[in-house]
Amino acid sequence: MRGSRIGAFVSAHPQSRSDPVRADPPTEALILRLQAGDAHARDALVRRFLPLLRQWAHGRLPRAARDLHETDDLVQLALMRALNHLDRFVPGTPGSFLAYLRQILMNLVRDEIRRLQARPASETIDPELADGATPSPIAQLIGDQRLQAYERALSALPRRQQELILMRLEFGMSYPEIAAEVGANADAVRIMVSRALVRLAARLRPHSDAAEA
Amino acid sequence: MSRASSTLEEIAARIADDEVVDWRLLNRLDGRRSAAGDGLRELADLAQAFRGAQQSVVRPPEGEPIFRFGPLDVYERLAGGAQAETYRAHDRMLDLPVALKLRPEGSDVLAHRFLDEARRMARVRDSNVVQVLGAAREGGRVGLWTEWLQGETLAQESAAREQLAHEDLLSIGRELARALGVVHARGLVHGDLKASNVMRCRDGRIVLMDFGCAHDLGTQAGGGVLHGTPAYLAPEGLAGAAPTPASDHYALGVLLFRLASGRFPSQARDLEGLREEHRQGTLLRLGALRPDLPLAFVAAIDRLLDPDPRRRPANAAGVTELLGTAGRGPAAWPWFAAAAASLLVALAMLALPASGPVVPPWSPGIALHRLGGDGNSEQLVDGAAVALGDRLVLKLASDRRTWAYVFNDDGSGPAVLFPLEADGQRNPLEGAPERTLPGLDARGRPLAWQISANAASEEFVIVLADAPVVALEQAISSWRRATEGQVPGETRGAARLVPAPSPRTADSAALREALSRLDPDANAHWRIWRLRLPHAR
Repeated sequence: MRGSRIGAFVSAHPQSRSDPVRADPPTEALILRLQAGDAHARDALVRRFLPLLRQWAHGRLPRAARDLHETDDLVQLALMRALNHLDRFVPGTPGSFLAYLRQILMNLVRDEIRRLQARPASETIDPELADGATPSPIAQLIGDQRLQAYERALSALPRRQQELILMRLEFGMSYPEIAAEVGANADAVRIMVSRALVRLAARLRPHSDAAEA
Repeated sequence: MSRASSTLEEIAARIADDEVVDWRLLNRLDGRRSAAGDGLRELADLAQAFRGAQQSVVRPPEGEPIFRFGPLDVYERLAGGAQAETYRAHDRMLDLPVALKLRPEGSDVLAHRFLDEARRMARVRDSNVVQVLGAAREGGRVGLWTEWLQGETLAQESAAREQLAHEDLLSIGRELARALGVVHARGLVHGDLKASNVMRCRDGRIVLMDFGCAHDLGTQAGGGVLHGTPAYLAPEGLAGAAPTPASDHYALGVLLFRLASGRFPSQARDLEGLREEHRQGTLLRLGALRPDLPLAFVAAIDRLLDPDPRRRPANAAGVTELLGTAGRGPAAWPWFAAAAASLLVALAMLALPASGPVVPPWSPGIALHRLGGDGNSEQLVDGAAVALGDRLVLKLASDRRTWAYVFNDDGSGPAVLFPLEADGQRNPLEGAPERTLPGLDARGRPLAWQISANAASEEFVIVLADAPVVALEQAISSWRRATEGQVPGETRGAARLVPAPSPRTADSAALREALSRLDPDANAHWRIWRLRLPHAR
């Protein structure tokens, strides 16, 4: 089941300008094929996005839910929901499908956190050990408030820039992979990502200048 | 594009590519642009956090597996021994990297015994405990596999960093307390908690591993055979008792001690030496090795390492609460080791009964200080010299309402330093991470006890309790009645001082007698310290 593209995702860090560009069809094309009933396109999308989403969820789920099976369950669920309801997805810019998946998964993660916090004591192993509010690894590393400030700043950026940042920063995709996704060359993507990050940085400090538009 | 924009983009690109950023580049920017530079610093932290989470997910290695076992592709042999071999593998069904533990060919361990570890682990599911994913018997080989953890064991970390910071110690302690709580709640004792069996994963998780020595609660570990690692064994384990949650808590205390100081409490090289150190009470004390740690934290470790298992926290909640109170308060002082030793002696003299109540997690601490003229204070270890005119204060830490009794005896008879009848110098004292006795005068100015007479030495006896101690209350009351009409020198000398001794009406034997009436059955509720301070010649 392992194709060469999973390997390409793994090799994203730190340098990736020389990574081979994916030969698979772009995501947009796969979505269109799936909408036309092509089951192979569905498999290709699952192969493409499942590892990325699993990796992302690993950092975002609270500890108590970050059991391996539960993480996989949520990721699987997010992807299946997205693929089963493609009619709800409005393609915008290239790369927006990943942002769409991330949003679905983030909603599921929030639901999971709420479920853990509402879990009756009798369900836990020991009421004294109930720990539904244990933060996710990323929240633990940088703190909830900083993570929320990042989310706010990110959501204020143009959609295309949001997607570039998600792909590079959160999903760890290489420039060639992003290039294949957005239909540009890797060097151009690198510059676009840098500019998007400068704008994001300006918004992370509300009193700072908005830098380059 | 302006030079400033180019600089910012260069930094941003380096952040995105996980390259070293030369933050001095920001110096080129003017005030408005440099504010964006602050945002980039924040972004660098965020990028690092995202990257850490990405790296914690492992993909299968490239290339062909060296063999297959059940649903696993096995790629690399990591370690091997007489009882087990470990491999890096990938679970094809779950599409997850795993660690495979195989019984070696020729092992004398029965297959069902080997798989017992997997069965025990399968009962426990918690993010702080390594998760077993499967077990199989195939072609005469027996194996179990667990999640693949990326990170360093605490043994590796301890080798690289000799002493961990207080916050780090607390965090590790709490996570392991939680892990042990889950293990115990499932009717198991881990039995071999040690630095090499705890992993700090890249995502920050602290994970308890290796259930090879675990066994069901209430069962004998096996006919007089010691299980576990000697340096982490509680004294009762060294004496042959079966492991219990309390012995796991002792091992946690040893681990935290080691991470804090780089040393084990015992320096013995063999089991007999270890037993002898326990018998003699000559184990090292953390307060002496890490005087910078908060007093309450040192006291918490002392509680975990209490030789009497009944005095250690009875459950995970107790450990968590103990460590919860250890996150605050003043630094420990080297003399604390001596004071704690005095406490042990005192408790031994009181001949505790063989069984007793479960001890609530209460770890008050005390520290006697000499005030200097420059506003600083100096710690007074047991045996430190004092001189006429010295001004002393007692610092104490307690997480609950406390009754404090402080006595001083210079050989001419004991004096009650605390409680006094003056406002602000009475019991009880509300719980606080740090409180100083004798306290404040009526105008809110700090007071001290002053040594006002020459003697060979001063002995201080300090008792803290979480309820009034009847024996001491009665003794103090009777001594007070005997001094009615006399002028208690509570405001003598400089206005900011409370002089030491009130009139001496009891003799030393009376104090000893009162202390001997402390109820040993209620020992969970009081602590005693003795400090002997010779006068400087």
